[in-house]
Amino acid sequence: MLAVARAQVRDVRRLVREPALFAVLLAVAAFLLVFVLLPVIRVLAAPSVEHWMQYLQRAAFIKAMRNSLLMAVLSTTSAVSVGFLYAYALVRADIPGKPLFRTVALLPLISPPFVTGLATILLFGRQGLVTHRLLGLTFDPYGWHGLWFAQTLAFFPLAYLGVAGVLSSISPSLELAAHNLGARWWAAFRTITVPLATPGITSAALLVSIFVLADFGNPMVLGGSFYVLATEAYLQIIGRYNTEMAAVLCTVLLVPALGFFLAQRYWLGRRAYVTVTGRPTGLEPRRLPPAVRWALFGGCLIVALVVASIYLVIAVGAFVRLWGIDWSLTLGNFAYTLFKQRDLYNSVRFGLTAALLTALVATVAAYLTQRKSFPGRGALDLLTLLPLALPGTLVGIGFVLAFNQPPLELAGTATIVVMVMAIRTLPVGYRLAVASLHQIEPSIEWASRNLGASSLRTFVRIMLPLLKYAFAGGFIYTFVKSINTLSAVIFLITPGTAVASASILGLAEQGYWGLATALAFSLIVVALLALGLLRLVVGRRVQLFDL
Amino acid sequence: MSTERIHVELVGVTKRFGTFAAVNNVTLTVPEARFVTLLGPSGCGKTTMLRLIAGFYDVDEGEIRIDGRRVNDVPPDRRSTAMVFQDFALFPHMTVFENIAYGLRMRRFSQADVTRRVEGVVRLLGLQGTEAKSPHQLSGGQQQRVALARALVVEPEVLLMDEPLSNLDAKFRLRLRTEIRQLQQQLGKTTIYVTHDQEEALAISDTIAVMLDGRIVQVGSAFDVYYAPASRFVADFVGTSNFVEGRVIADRDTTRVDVGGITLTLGPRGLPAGARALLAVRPEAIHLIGPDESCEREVENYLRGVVNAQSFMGSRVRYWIGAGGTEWMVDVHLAAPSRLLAGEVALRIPQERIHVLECQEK
Repeated sequence: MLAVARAQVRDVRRLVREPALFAVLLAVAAFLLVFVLLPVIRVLAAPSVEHWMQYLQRAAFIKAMRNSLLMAVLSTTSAVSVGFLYAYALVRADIPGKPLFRTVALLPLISPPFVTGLATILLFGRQGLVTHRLLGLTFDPYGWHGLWFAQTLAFFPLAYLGVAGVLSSISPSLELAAHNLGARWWAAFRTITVPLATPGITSAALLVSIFVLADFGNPMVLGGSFYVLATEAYLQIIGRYNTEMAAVLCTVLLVPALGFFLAQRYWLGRRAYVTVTGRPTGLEPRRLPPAVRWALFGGCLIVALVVASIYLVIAVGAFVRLWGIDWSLTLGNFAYTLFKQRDLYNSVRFGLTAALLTALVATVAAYLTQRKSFPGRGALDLLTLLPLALPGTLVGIGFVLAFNQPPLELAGTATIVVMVMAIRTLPVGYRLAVASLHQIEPSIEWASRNLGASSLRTFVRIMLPLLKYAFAGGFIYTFVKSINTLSAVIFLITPGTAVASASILGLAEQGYWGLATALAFSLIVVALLALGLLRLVVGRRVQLFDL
Repeated sequence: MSTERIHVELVGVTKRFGTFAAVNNVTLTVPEARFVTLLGPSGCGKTTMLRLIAGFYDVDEGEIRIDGRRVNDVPPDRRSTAMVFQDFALFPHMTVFENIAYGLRMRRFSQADVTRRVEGVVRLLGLQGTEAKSPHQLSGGQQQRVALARALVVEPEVLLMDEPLSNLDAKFRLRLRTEIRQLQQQLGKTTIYVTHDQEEALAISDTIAVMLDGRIVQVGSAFDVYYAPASRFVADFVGTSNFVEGRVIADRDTTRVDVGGITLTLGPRGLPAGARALLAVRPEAIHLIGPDESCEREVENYLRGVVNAQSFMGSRVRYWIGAGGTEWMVDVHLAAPSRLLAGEVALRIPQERIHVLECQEK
């Protein structure tokens, strides 16, 4: 106890000796306290006991909670199953078309999550291309089944990335050792591969369930009468101006999300034991039996075709006059979304600003938590990652509550939209920066200090140049994520600061399919352009979407 | 030699990665119960050969036979060629017991048999008390023993070992390699061992196959390979050698070689006069004569020289001595502390210790 205190005193002394570094640390801490912690506290403090009693007495709210949890369980199970199949096929199986499969899995990650919901309606809705045009059915996709389908497609790539990461970190010599001792494919898969991948699978599942639980766009578009907590909270504010009740619903949502988040941090840490057996051996994994290989290929092909058809439908929808009724081609949708409205322009403008801010804060925070020792380092790390656990609805309401009066009166400004985008994307930017920092040997930094440079100077002269590609990657990544955020932004925009993601939702709700798809299509094109630009500038030095 | 049964046989085996032939038309026979070491620098194809025998890679050309049976198309899980991996490849999510029992379970042994056999091999390798531990709780040496136990317990036809000692401390390596050798002799297990450490290969093997660039350049006992290297590469890679090149002078019934200024007498070798010869002399074969020591001046292969450098290595001293236009490495063993030599010295090279590596007629 005393030793810990003494170490902390020593850390503080070291900080005081480097005032520039100390100032940077204080600035980052203040930023996080004001924009991450304060809104959460305001939401938690908003409702009174009376509101909580009301919540418990309303059957509809209890049902919404049950629905949220049900959807989280269903979608996580299916998304992780598909993600595992995809990851195992792409990491372990020798199948054709891998680059194509990877690209297709990237699409849901760089587009607004409710695009899958939108496309589900266009494919299987009352005027659906498949159900109505091809099969002549009257099928109703609205409800839990349609939502389940859309959420699976929206979030399986997240599971795929997590599982692929852990699968490729398993040394091939372990599976080969199993074969060498007499295990056939299935035995090795069951006794070696799956147990070793379990921490990674669990971590991916928890991450997916946080996202499904808090997702707002797809339930809004596709839920029909299947209400979930996120949509209920939105309706409480927009329909009834009952901010306190919305705060209650968000708090209920926060509990499991926070639990999953903490559990995920634990499992992510356990991934380390996979690499216990030392240096890489240059061994190639054994070829899978042909039957397994082709089954995996078939599975991937089906998933990829479904995802591709979703984006194809969005692209086609953007160019037809009236979905399901008038199939003639037109550019009118774009004329309206690109030139009559400022939403897309706002998205790009705010997104760029937010990305710059996030990349900066994330890089500095990562440097501080990974390379410096000071009291509260763990808290800083947790605070930077916390927005991952916060339902977007909660952040949005929190911002409304926290920044509607002096000294921080930001309501209705572009600043508040930028800030909320920055906070929403901070965790991914931070994880990216931490991962890049881990690739730089500490000895490089020690060499700089050893030759007489201060901490801050070392950061600016040595670390920043080394991190510039990672910084560029983080910038583009957070930009793409920023233009796609919806659930928090939707509470903060005004007609002057409207952004595309929210407008797509509005247009879809009113049945303007052409305009909604045109805007969604434009947003995806912007994201692809940003990624293309990054590839052009940095090449393959930064691996995005591989966290 | 008695007619030993051939256990493992490679006939004209080639393995390519792209256009690069990692193993190039290799033929090798391994008799039963022998300890055969594949020795060579990194990238010479020795590990690839082991993996071909285990079935991790498919053979491009040629044939691998175990017990006379062609195994090219037998998958690794049906080969009974248990391997000790360089990184041990212990299953991190299983206990020591479960690791060792893995192969038995795959062979569907009854629980009683599994326990009995695992206990047996645990005793054999002195792993008592570690059964319930997880591999990462063990020391490197213990992990190595578990890997060995896991391979031995299935009673494989052939034991394969891929640089099993390279991840261990130098001191420990020495002890374990002796244990591995004793165990192999005790069990009479046909073993193919891969290493880049020539000292290890000399200490442990019945037969050494020296490899370079995907080919076997010499096969023989440790003595053969050390004292009668087939090429400059082998002489240099296994131990160290002094190399000199010169022209053969035929002089009655003794062969002499003029190596630029000085002439070395080799004794009766029957080399053709006028040919170019490449000679190798081990550093420990050369006698070093200090200034105070008396010696008959008229003895053969006597060279005057100067100590250029020396390096004290505990049990011996290595000198670099300039003599006759060449720098000679000379090792002197120290039985007791003595002053290191400096300045003018003399060398004597016994003629029977001069090895002719190559001899080409003009």
